[in-house]
Amino acid sequence: MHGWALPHGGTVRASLRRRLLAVKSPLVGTALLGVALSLVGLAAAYPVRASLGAGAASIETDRAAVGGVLSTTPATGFEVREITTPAGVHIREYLSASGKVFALSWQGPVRPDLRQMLGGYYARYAQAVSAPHAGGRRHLAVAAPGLVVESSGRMRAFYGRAWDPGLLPANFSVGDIR
Amino acid sequence: MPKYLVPTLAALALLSSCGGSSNGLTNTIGGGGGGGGGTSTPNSTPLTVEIGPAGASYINIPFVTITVCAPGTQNCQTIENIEVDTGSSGVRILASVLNASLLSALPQQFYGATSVPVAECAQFADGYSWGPVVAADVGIASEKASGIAMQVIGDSNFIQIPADCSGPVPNEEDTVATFGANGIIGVGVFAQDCGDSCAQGVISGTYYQCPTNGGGCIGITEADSMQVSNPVTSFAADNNGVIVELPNVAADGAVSVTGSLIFGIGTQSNNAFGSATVLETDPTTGTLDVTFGGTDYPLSLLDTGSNALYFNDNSLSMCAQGTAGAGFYCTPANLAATITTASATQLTASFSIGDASTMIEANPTGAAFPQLAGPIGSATPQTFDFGLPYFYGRPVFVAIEGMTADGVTGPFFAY
Repeated sequence: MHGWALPHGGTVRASLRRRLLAVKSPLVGTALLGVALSLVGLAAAYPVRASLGAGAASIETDRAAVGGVLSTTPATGFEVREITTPAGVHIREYLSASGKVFALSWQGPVRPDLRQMLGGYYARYAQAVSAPHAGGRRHLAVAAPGLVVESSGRMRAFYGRAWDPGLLPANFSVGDIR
Repeated sequence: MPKYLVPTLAALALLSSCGGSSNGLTNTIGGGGGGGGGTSTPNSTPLTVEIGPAGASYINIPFVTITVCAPGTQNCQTIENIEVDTGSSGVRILASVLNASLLSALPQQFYGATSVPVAECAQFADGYSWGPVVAADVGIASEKASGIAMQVIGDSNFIQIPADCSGPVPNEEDTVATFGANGIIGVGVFAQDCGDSCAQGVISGTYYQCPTNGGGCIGITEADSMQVSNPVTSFAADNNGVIVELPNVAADGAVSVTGSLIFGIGTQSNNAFGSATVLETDPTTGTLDVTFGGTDYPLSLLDTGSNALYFNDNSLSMCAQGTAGAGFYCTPANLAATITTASATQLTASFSIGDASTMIEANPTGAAFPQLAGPIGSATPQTFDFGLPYFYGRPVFVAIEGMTADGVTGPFFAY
């Protein structure tokens, strides 16, 4: 069969496994303001460019870049915009009333590209990531100046969140970053 | 890389000579084997929680010994300290552990009909492992998975790591010291490590073709049949799942403990299903729904690849920075959560946690800590993580998707 270097000309037994795909509904059960935009076509993987600390325009740039669907949920003092990538990763971007992305969260079968999502915060994140931590392979919490990143899960079920404590709106609870 | 902050102990506790011996195996499954684990039968192998090759900072990791051969040959190597992980699928071995003559004889997987090697980025929440996909015969006990796709981690011929592999969580785990073991055997509920999504589209940070001209790796789709896969599905028999069977361990921990990893569910005299409760998982994520303290955790895990019980409870205090248990809880407590399955079965899961600093100081060279627990971030609503501590004294069945065990089709856990 194609695909293997076989030094002795033998055959490789392969077995096919099929699995039903179950479609998961979005996490947030609240009513959504429909800003449903049509898919521009299934794109290959494309890095998300919205950045923590960046403005609202970066969210729309992301949505177009990944060919994903955007939905918006208003709340008091902030807004949550969710992008679903073709890979099935749900990325939520928390936008303050002053128009800044102050927090991010994600959930999906693979990790999103945090290089793009953390933008200018990435360097301090990368420095902190190799430090000793509890949590083994499954949980990582990184605290750097002006940045908290929590990454959890495993292949098929990753989730996490990141925020700048200095950008949180008044009366906002970190527990609301979900 | 240490799994917890390495403490500065004010005074070393006396080495515990007994470390708390097991009270014997709680055996709710069919008898057989050597009783109490630790011996091999054709379908079972010793499963040992001990300090492995990466040292004392890696705790609560269960290991087995496997044999890796170049397919169809007697060019083989027996490798110990392979981590058993019910939260992933597939075999991954550190290149540094493989004999050069074996490594060079493992056929490289190529992309389609080309001669371009395929490599993989194994994603973890705390980092990644990178390396080529090869074919191997993997043997455990008397079971054999022939010609399966396996990942070699940290291969010196694959040093150009793509940016979307190393970038997201830039903590490279490509050495024994940073990986925490000589390799890992994922025997979870899924047949492949990625599944249909990697077969249907290019998923960033998963599979790549890596031209040897140094131009850099390019993401690819990878058919299910080519993906790194759960070796159990390739056994000729006893291939519908595994049982993780570990004895009870004294509350303060033990230097080491040995049980069994048993292959097959309801296929031999030693793997009868008994009266275990089936816990169907979500078919896409392999997770369970757990309620704890009035909060729902829809992506919960039952996972030997987690080295503690991880959950959030604001009433518990954490051990102080700089102490032996930093990063974990320092409040002893008897707690309970509720597991709700996809078919609405509810099971109460009771467990006890202890003071992490006390137990680690009592057992500084210890590996098995049944009451080790810690938080997940500061208020994360997704997961209640029943890691390895939950498996001590509780045989757990892991049934693979699409396979039938005791008349029920996986994916499910049961105990």
